[in-house]
Amino acid sequence: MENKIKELNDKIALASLGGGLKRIQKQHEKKRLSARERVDYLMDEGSFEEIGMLVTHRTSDFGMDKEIYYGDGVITGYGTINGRLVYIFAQDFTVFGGSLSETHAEKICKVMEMAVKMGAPMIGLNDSGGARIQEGVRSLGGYADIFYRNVQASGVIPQISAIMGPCAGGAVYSPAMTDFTMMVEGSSYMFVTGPNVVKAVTNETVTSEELGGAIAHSTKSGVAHIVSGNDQECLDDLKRLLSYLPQSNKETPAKLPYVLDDEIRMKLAAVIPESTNKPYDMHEVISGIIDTDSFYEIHKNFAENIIVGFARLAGRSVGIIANQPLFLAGVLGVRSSKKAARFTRFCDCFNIPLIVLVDVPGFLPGTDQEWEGIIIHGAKLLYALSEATVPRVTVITRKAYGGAYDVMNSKHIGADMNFAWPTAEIAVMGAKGASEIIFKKEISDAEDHEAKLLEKENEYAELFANPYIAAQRGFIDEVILPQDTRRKLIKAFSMLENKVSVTPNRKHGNIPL
Amino acid sequence: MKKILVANRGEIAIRVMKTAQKMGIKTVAVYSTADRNSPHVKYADEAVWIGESPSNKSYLLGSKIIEVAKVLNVDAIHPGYGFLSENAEFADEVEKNNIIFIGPKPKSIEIMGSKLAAKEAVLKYNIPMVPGVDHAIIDIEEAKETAKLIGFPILIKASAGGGGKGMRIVEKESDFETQMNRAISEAVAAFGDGSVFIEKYVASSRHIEIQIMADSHGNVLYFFERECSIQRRHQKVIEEAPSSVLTPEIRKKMGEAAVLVAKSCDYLGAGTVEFLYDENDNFYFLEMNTRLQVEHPVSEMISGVDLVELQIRVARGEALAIKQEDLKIKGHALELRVYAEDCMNDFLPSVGLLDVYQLPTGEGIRVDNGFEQGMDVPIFYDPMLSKLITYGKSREEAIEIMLKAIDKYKIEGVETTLPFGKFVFEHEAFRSGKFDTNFVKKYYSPEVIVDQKAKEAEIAALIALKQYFEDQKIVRLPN
Amino acid sequence: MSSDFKVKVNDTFEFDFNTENTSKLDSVSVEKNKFHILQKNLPYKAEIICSDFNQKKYTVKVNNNIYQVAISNPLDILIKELGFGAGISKVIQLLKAPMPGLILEINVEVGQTVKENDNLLILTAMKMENSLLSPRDGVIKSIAINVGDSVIKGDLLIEFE
Repeated sequence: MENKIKELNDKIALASLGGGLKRIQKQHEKKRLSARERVDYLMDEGSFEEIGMLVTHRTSDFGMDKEIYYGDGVITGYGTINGRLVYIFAQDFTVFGGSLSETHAEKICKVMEMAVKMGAPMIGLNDSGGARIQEGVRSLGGYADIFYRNVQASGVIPQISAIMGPCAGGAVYSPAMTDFTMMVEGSSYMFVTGPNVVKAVTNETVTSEELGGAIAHSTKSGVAHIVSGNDQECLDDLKRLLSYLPQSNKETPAKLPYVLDDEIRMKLAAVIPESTNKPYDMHEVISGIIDTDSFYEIHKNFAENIIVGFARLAGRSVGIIANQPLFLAGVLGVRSSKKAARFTRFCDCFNIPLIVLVDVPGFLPGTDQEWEGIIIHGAKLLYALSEATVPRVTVITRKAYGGAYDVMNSKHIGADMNFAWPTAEIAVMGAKGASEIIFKKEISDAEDHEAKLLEKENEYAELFANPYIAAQRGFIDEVILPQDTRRKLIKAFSMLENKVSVTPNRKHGNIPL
Repeated sequence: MKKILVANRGEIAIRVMKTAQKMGIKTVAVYSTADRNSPHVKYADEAVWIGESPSNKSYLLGSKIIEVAKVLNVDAIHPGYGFLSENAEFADEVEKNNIIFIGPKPKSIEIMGSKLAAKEAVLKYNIPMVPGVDHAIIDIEEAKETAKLIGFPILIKASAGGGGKGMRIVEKESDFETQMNRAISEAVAAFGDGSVFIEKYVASSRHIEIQIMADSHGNVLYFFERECSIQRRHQKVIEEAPSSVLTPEIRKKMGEAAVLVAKSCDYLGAGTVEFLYDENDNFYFLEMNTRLQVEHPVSEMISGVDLVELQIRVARGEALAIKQEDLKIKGHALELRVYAEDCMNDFLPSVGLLDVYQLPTGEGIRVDNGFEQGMDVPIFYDPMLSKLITYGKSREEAIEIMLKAIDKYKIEGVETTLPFGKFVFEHEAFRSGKFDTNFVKKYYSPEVIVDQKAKEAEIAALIALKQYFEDQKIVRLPN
Repeated sequence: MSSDFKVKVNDTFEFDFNTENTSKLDSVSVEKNKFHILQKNLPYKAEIICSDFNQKKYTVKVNNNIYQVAISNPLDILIKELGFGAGISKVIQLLKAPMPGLILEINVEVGQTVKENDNLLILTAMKMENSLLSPRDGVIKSIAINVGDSVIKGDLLIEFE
């Protein structure tokens, strides 16, 4: 018996070392943690149960049968994070460069299936050189198996991918289909075709970092939702993100304890500047509404004219979508529409209510917008919001002009509660533009065009640049004081907690993709 | 006398009120904003708010206090110690308003309030004094010359100072000017009077003081001595009665000298005459404190009297019923001042909330206390939490009871002088009685206590780690 | 990876221990969470007041004194060594208030060069004037307080270049 036990312990010891101490040291030198260390750090103390530690590959081509590693380059299993069950796979760069083989993919698919069955989040720590060339088509098949399961799990359980090393070629499609992609500054990169092939085909010289590093993907492409400074921060950020999400689509996120107060926030009374053309930081409005320090921004540096993220309202997890007047006056454009639309759909999948803060002067004009298809992408956001059945509440802080008024969660598209501040201007367009059209004759007849325009502009603004016409029609449920916003929202969401909405029976709609 | 107002706070206010209550006299407490929830406010029969938290906006507002006293028809005001207790103007105002001031006459306070005037008054009674300068220093250069004459090290003392404040030792000539300037500035800030004088610093000495009580019928008694040599930064931390070195002859000499000092300023009420006692058994008059002192309890324990009661009787005009020959020393008493100070960080004040505050109780233990669990230690006043006093039939017994009491005294939330006290009472030099005012400088360093803490920290670490290993074994399931 | 743990007590004391140390400890469980320990022939009474396993933090009372214990396992130590933490600590950069009180005097200006033990400022608290001396030679980068300000323990007073 003792020999048998020794045999087992030896195998376990070997498996724990992955590709060997030397390779682990190399990871450390590059300021990266090994796969096992990442899992240890992420999971609650002593909670991780590994599945498939002794799996090995089955290839013999190219002499592969001489190189066998237990685990085959990926650590899979389940554990708890802050007491909640999660499933995880962590690719081990020290084994064959973390490359994906048939068996490597099988391990990942196994935990993905378990996650769906048990209704718990799936976390992937990606750190892989790509397909294991020696396996040929078998590794491609492995990838596809994973992709298929990503889709089956999509909208059923939250799926989070953290890119903590290379992720190239076909491998990138899995994170792309998960709900959130996190990257580590300086040590991770993602692209479909790497710099070498790019150079060969297009003669462009570019580094991995420039092509697909964390900065590129968080500012230019929007592929990365969160960027962290190092491995430790990335894992901490991941834990924090999870705290806003439920275990599966059958649950609502856990509510933190909160003792209610008068919930008045006087600082909001001073946020909107006197002049309607002066910008202000919408982040200030957000912080004046949500629980202290509870904002977790997604896509912070991408399409900055709109802000999305998670927060808490009296302990409840909520999603926030807000125009940002500081950037491009807060207009809606191609990228901001896409950013907000996907976020909306995620929240709708997972029963996270939405707060929409509106200060939008319209859509961004220009040929590149039109030729990019702002028509389609703007419609994405309109569609996503209209389709969402989670409680959604709107607060118009200042401008809400034209079609953008409709799009930003107006009453007509099914918003549950619509509030407006006294500074709200709900109109078909800005006073200047409108006056130029409506009073065209009067202005051209007048002696002083400028003065007449100004006069008419002011007239128009008096009459229409306010929330009252909309309020008179019931398009706005209540005009509220800025400092009362948090109070009103807390009460509204409490009232909306058990909302049940019926959608027509169909396979799925056809959102303009 | 039907009603007394106690113009003070904390433990002394409660201490005075306890005796008043015993004597059937009603009590009035005064408090500042910070003290609204203090025990002394709850203890009194009536309580009046007198101002904002800083002392100079509340407890030092003599006129306000007198106003309150008049409105409430108070018969007498007891000033406690510190604050206005040695403020001659206040005493005068009180009397002018036809209220009895439980303490000496304004004139006595004035004379003994200035160390220089005190020395002058005492001169004619042939009482031994420390070599020094008899007048206030104005010219620093002149002072430096005088200091050189007296010989370094010298002591710079604030004339209006007391309670250990306003004193600085100057070891060498090069430090003289800075120290002088600092001392004057401190004196102005603390006492409103920048006059300082210098005297020789007696390196190895003990601080022994005599408790006296004088009535209005010409009787002056002495209630034996108190040994107060365990001091840090010239402030007393530990006192005992009787001293372990005085012989009955010297005790008698010092007692009688103290009585003369009291007579020299026409004293009334409770007072303390402080002496410097050198290694050759000589004693020198230092100063007289014209108030009831913090450490009065130890004298009460060994002589079996209630000094506050006597104060009130004397203030009422009664003659002291005891005779000097009837007073005998019985047993031995020790006092540890429990300050909210970090004895490991140069005794800097430790501010915080008293999360846990439980007094020790038992045979031979007395705690004059001013705080309760859950209270904040305010930054506006002296950081003294209480006085821990123990009494035994012998000095050894008193020390043993004290050590047990320190262990039983549970305080969490602030650092205190309790560990320091433990260190002293366990130290051979203290236990043998062979110590002087250099005790702290000579024997104490934070390292000593750190050492002990280090041993305990190691145990804590090992136990925690052991528990951690045990906890690891327990199965944990997702919630 | 060794099985050495770093145990920090009250943020002041640090020990390196492993399972050998804990098994050698002569301790007897008197009650649940209460222990009697003999170390170098001296007795100690210990009680575990609070435990947070996930954070690896324990509060232990030894002979009436409370100690906060924080345990770092080998992974924690590795992470620390890898130096993920931002910023390398330099020479004493900040002078903080050692206790609460009032700023009475400020004797230096921004840009001034000072020597170790120069009198930087005077802080009064509980009726004592305390001169705060410079902990090093250096140049004053910024002064965070004004005369008359009230500060609490730990408040930033002066920053050095």
